[in-house]
Amino acid sequence: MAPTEFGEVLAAAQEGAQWAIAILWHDLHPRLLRFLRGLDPTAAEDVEADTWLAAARDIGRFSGDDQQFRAWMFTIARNRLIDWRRRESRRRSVTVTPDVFVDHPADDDPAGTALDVLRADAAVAQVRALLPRDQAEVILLRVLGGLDVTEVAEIVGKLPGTVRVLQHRGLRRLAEQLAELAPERRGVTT
Amino acid sequence: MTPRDGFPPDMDPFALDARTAEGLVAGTLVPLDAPPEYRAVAQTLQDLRLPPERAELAGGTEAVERIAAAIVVARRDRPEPRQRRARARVGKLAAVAAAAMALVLSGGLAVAGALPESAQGVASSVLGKVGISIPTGSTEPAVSVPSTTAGPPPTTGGGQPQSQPAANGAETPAPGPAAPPANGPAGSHVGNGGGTPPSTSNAGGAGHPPDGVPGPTSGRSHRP
Repeated sequence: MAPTEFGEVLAAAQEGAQWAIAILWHDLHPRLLRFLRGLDPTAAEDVEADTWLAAARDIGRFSGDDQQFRAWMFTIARNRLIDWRRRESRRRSVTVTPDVFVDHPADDDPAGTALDVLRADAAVAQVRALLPRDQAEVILLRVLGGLDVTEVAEIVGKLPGTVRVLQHRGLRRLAEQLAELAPERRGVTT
Repeated sequence: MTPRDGFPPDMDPFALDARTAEGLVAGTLVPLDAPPEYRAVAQTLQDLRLPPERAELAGGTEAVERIAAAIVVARRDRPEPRQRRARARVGKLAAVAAAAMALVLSGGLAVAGALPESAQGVASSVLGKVGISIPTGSTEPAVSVPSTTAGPPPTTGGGQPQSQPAANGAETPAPGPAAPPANGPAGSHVGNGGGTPPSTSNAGGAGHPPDGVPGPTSGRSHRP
């Protein structure tokens, strides 16, 4: 979206114009939903809806370009997901430390299920299943948000260097895991 | 790491340089151009960027309506910046007007000699220094107050003899530091006193009802 075009869309959206909100929603909704599904598929739908309502409350105060708007939306989505997890953890009254999720990817079989689902969903499932949460988060923010290292670092509250390391480890791990899961995929063509 | 065929044992087949990593996440490196070990990764990341399927956009109309309604509600609840600025300006004007009114009122009372005795003494003393003569408020010498400070008047006025002939309205509680000082930071104190008179001054004023006229808050008098 061109800067001037985005400015007009944003201004109209801040007034509550549905045509402008529809443009923003069609651009960002799939990305946000995939991002949230990549981190927590059970919460994705609810958290994504919450994200838009939270954005609606504060969009009048937002100023910036489309890249900043995307970063802002992903920040809201991430914060909402953290809130949702806190609420869920209290409700379940099972205490686990974040370390439990690090280096222990989910044990589902994305390679097997990917055949029957959409390719984008399969890709999201692969990233979620094969990567630790912090690595998956960085890669999803970079790919789906179209955000650079600095923006991702701000969102996740880490140093840019740390984000680069997480991204590097995530890509490498993904390559190793995909090679083990489906050796025939090596040299895949589009 | 899984040993890969075709690579020497000491060579890392998954070695990844920064440029390739950036190309993968930025989408500038398509699977065909990616290193063989990273083609599957490039494909996966490319799939992440695929345009949304129809199912993913289901319920869009309702969602947009909900968001628009939430924006309208938020706009209604939050005043416009222009309105906020106007409100702040009106608030400042009101404060200045109140301070000026209090100043004029207390000055007028001081000139008429209608202030409570202690305040009248202070006003007389202060204004006397700038050449303005006003009644001292009693036959006794005016209370001596350092000119550099315009602190609250002594609250012992309730015990003073009531020689002050109060005019109608004299029972109106007047601000403590009745008159503006000639200079110095005490001016702001006057302003404050005008806006919210110190309680001690009020108590003093209430303790001096005019003769024969019951004070509006006679129960508050400290006289024995």
